[in-house]
Amino acid sequence: MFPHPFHFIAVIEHLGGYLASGILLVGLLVGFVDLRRFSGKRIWAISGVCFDESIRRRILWIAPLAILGIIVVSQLQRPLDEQDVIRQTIKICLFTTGMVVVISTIILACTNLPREIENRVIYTVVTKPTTRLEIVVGKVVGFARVSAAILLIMGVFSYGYLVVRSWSMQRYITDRLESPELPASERQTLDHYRQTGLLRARTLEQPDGLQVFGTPPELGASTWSMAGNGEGSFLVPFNLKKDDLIASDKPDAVPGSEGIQVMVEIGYRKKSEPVAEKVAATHKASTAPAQAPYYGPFLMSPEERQAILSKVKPQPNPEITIEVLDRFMNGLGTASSLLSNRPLELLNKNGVSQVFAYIPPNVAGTMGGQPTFIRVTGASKDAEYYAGKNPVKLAVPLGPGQGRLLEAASDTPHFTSRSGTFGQQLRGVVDGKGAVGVYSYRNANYSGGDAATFEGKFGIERSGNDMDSSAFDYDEPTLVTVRVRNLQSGKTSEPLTIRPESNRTTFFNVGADVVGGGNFDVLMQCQTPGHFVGLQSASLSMITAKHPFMLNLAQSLLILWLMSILVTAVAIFCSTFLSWPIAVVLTLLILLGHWGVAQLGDATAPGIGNQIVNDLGLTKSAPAKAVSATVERLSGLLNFMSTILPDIGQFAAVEDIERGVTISSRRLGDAAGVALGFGLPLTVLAYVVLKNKEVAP
Amino acid sequence: MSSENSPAIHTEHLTKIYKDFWGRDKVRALDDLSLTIARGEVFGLLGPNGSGKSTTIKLLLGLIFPTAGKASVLGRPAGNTEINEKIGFLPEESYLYRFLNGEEILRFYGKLFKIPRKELNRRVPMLLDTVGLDAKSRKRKLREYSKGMARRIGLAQALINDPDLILLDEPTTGLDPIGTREMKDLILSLKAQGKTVLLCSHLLADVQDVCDRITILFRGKMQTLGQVKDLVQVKDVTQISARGLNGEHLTELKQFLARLGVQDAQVTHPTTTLEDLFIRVVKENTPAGQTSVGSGG
Repeated sequence: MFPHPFHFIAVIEHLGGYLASGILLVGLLVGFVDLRRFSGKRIWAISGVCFDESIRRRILWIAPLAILGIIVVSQLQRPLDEQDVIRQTIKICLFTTGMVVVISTIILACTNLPREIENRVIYTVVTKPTTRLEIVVGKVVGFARVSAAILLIMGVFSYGYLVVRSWSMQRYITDRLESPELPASERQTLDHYRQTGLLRARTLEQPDGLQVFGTPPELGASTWSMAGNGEGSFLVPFNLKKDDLIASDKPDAVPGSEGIQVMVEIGYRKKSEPVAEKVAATHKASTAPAQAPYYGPFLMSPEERQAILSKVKPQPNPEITIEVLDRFMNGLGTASSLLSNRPLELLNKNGVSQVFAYIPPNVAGTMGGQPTFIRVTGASKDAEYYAGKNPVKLAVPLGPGQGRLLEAASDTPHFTSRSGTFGQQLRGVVDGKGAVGVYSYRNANYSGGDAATFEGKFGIERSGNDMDSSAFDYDEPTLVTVRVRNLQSGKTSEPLTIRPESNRTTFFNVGADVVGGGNFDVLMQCQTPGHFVGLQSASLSMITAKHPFMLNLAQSLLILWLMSILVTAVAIFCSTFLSWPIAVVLTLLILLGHWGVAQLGDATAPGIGNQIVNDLGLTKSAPAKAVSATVERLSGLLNFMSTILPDIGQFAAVEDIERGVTISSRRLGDAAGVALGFGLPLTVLAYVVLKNKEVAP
Repeated sequence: MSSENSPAIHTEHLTKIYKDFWGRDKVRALDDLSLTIARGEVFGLLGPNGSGKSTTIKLLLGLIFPTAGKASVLGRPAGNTEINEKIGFLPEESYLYRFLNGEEILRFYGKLFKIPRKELNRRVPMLLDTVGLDAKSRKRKLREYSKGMARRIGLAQALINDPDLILLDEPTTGLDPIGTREMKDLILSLKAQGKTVLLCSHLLADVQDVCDRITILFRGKMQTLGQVKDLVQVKDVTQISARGLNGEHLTELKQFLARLGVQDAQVTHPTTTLEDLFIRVVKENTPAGQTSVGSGG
């Protein structure tokens, strides 16, 4: 079940590992005698009392209240479609279940020990042959049993409620499918829902990568194309050390102080006709004659066309831009031509040009010690660019005409397109020629069958300022053709047309023969001019296996249960030395600390001190330094705290199941790792504190 | 000293000072207590409220830690978990889980001693009978118990492990005279079984009835220690008891004492205690076949 049975060790090593190990060691030394007397029977007895107490205090009454809340809230939802009804209901059920379990666990566990000490019930327990280790562990186990009971009730309800909702939605789907007015774009998806059901748990195979090329790449190609007009780019990664940026003849120089020379090897092909003209010719010719004079495939007379074309200034040399990006794709700066005030031009009209550029010292200095990317973008509208392997070379200047070459991290450039609202934009092609998105699958785990089902969720954008926007019909559905090309057999499937709707799931099947072996590319082209399909790496998935939904729900509840164990351990630790209200607050701080710091984002990044000083407009040196240093230290402290606090984001119980994806054993392993990696040291710490505590007030 | 031959309880200069939040001395609850209680003894710890009786018991049980000095129980350091196997403790109030019923609470404590289920099935009803809780009472939640019933179930939990040493803190508090008498009888029967009992009380009559030795604590210090009969004896006064004397005999007796030079001789009829009177009245009015009169609290 757990591929990483000792995953919690990795967590310990990574987050405050020394601290956790130290606690365990101290616990072992302090509690060696008690460890020898450790009795499961006593622990079970103590846990039984915790359980009975909680049940008889009517903690389970919280479940019907939560169930009522779920029913009310789920009736108020506004779903996108039938599957979204189930998705939202799953989310509401599990979110509420998680909240109920966490809140009840915190209250029960934080109040238990202080109350037993205050009303002296603990006298009769510690005066029995019970070690304090058994008391602490017994209480953790007891509240874990309470959580399990709550989860069981909520789980049974959630499953039943979802089955009812699913049955209701299936009837609705059947009615809609029988309606002749159902749009074609929805029929495919609804058919899929009817066949597979809405309560699903699938294993999805994600693609290894996504690239967008100017034209479909040939199998085994060594050059690849990208669109111009600022729409196509390629990235070349570099992992440079600071020392790499120092010229060898100046060992004491600041890294990057000499700048970096760039050479890009890139070619281009001129587009034969302006895009608008071509589009107009191919898409409007058949409808235009009824309302306007007929000029064959053109919109206007030859004279009018000549008049327009004569005003277009010829652009003799296509241009590119070169940018330096950090690992988050934030711009660090740009490279400029070695010739001042000149654009970066491709001078060779018949082949690959070598474009020389220069990265200034202020930008070059930031490239050391972190992964960086050089992004080359085709800037000219009427050109299509192409490049092969190792298209970008960097060198540190050593003198006139000399330089030390800096190795790229990969010899193959990664092609992308312009980022839009929904991801990389895949422009609608004209006359079958144009950009293609390629999802690459390598060693994909396809278990077999007659056909492979893919699931896609894409965003659709429609151009508002295209060159010839009036030529397009923006209301027409977006058509996307899909082909799958097997890299081993070289076989390519027949083009399949799908009609994706923005941010709604689309399904399509391809023959098993093209996905066999697991190495294949999925090529997608938008066939509707003026439309852009937004692609992301996770937009497309292949369904490789199906599992019972009930099992997935059980796994999700198991993750919540693991979270409740961590919450119990934290709460009991806090309650060993604090009164219960303060213990509740500290428990919440410990649980939410890591998440909270993550929410601060850049506010805890190095350099925030200077930023605050600038924002405050402090000009005097002394106060500016004091503020900067204080903020930096506070930020450092927050970052340190976040590394030793548990990451509750690892208890991802909702994300997968609401998407209908099988919860992987890795997710369970991660949750168990955090629960054990933090829960165990905190339980030991609680024992050490309790052992040295006078329990008689 | 082996643990079998060691005294039941031994303290040396045992001191407990309660401190405030800042670590400053607040109260000296027990001051330099050196005491040895032999096995098989019924020992009384007397003193007014706040004299250090409960503090002594808490120190012996490891509920609190001494500021100075040391204590051993059955030959092992006080608070040792292993030795708790042989100790029974009845706190000054029955601090028990109030949402469990009488049977459940005994089974819970029995499990802490790892008593096998079969043995628990035998021992639990027997103990409930011993402390006088009837079948109906033992199924009720402890939160519904009267104070007397709570004391009884508290005593039962203290005896669940058949302990060698029993520490009873104010055992008769909340009990009616019959319950008090039963408690004292029980203590005497424990003594007869060779158990050691440490009785902590400020009800002097109770202590006097059952204890072999006592000590009196006041303001944390031990004031006196010795056999009960020695301590309470008034050595310059003589009491003679006799049945069947008439008025003439009494007159002669007074004259005889006067001849001996006794100035303030008193010749009267002895009185019984109110406790004895109460028990006699209740017993005379108890229907035949009812064994206990106190389980209802």
